[in-house]
Amino acid sequence: MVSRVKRDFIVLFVVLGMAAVLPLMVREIYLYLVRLIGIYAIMALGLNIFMGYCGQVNIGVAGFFCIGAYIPTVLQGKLGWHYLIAFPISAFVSLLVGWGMSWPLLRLRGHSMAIGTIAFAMAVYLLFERFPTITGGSDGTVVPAMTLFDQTMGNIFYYYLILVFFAVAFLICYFLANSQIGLALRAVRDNEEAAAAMGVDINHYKRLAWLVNGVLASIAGSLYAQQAGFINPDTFALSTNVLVLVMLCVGGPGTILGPVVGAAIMTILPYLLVKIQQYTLLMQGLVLFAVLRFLPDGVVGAISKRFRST
Amino acid sequence: MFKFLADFLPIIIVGLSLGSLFGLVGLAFTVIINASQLVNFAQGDFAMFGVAVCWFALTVLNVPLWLAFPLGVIGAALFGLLTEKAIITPLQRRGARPFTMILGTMAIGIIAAGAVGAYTKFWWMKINPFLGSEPWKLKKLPIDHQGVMIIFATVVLVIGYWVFLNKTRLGLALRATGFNRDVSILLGIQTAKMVGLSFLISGVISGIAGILCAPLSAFNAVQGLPLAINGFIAVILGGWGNPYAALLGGITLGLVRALLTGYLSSAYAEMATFFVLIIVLTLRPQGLFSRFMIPESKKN
Repeated sequence: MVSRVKRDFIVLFVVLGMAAVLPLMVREIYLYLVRLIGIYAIMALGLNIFMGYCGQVNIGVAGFFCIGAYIPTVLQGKLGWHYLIAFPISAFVSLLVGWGMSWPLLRLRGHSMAIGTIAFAMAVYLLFERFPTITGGSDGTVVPAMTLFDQTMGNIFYYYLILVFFAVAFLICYFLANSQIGLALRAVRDNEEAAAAMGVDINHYKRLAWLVNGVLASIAGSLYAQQAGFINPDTFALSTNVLVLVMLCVGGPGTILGPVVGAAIMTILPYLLVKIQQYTLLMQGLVLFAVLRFLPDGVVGAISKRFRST
Repeated sequence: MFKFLADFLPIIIVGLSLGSLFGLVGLAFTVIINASQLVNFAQGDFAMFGVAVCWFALTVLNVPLWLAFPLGVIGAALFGLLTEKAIITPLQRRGARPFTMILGTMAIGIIAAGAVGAYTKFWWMKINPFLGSEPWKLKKLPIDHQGVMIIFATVVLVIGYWVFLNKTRLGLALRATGFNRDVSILLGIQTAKMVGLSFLISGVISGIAGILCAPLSAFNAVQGLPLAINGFIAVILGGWGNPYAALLGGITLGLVRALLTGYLSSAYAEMATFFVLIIVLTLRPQGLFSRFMIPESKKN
């Protein structure tokens, strides 16, 4: 066990170190891709805790993503608050919203839970779209640039900010997955009745996973808005939900590296394969179909299974 | 009085036609649920695909409507059958978890939306009202004939479905498959074919609903999933596994939305849908009309 943790940490630090020196070497477009990978990986990591480990269904991540993107923007733009104050507030609001929504949503199972979470995401989306005086409505709104010590921060700063948050999110999920909590979550996934009989408080762990999922998605949203500089509600519509789900499935639900690998694949693939944006949706659908049909454990799951068997 | 009626009547017709659309999609959901206990998240995309085929036939091939309409319905039905063959059966044979099945049907829906979207560039697929754009006049009250046609078609479809389910041998086999699959196999019913049949029927129903409503609501390629969500809300609102309750749920939903849009603002109408869903899920998870038209012996 110790050696495995040590190995994983060496891998993590090597990857982070390479990512940290990357801005010295490559062009801006690649840095943009890495930023997106980081943001989506944070979201997929949270979703992995709820779906991969706890076995529940959430097709409403974009709801939290939307909250995380809009609240700091509105607080900065309308009230002039500093980003570093507005950012934690949005994460806290997501925590509260997630806690409130956990009462109706977590009682559901399977299909009903899927539709309930979609409905939640749609409600949040409509909330931000239909009040144009505050949020800019469907035209979108400009995100004020962040200033620190009287200097406007650029893309390189956001790059490192995202990197730091990605590292923190990864460590949190790593320890959640490898601790007693992770064991309890997997017990809930595999057999709820048996887990309850063994003394696992099902509702408690479901809520915990749901909140981790929500807060991480909200953090990803705040980071996304800040680095993009412009948001409109369409960014957070159903396509984001689908994208994150595809990432998780491609990487492999229930594996710790899966979400990261999936986020990397699904961010880079559109840039390699299709130059025209109109084909992105078709490609996502085909990839999801192929993975579900031929690679049910995802890329990481299939590779680790291969290694274990030989 | 005339002022009130002039406001009220169109709102009710819009509500009923919107409700019929949601209700028919809900009915299509229930057809599959009853045969195989599956929720098909590509349901809205069946309708979208039907509309796309019909639009293609009308604008590109320039065929008349009476031919384009059946073509669209056939397209939707074949798409339903393809969904079942391509992903439902292989995943079920593997014994996949329900969450994988949800994603599998969603994947089919995304592929359809992506393919149609790539062709139409995600623009509105415009189909003109069937009987011209001039509304009927009833003592100076304008009446939207497309809405009346949708309501009429809904009644015909539901009666046809009821007759098929209760008066034919095939319908009996379909009901038996949903009731108890193992015993149905013992009795010589080809249950795999019945599941395929349920996808075919649900494709037909959602195709008809989609094409009839296309002149009223601007359909584009990504409209499938929102439509499926509304249809599924109709199912939950009405009652799980009861086709007629799903229809009633859809009509309730449509009326609520039309009344809110008419008398308050469209900003609240869609949001109200989701709040109604959350409230019903919390307070009455079995649905509002779960016992409607289900014979006494089947209640459990």
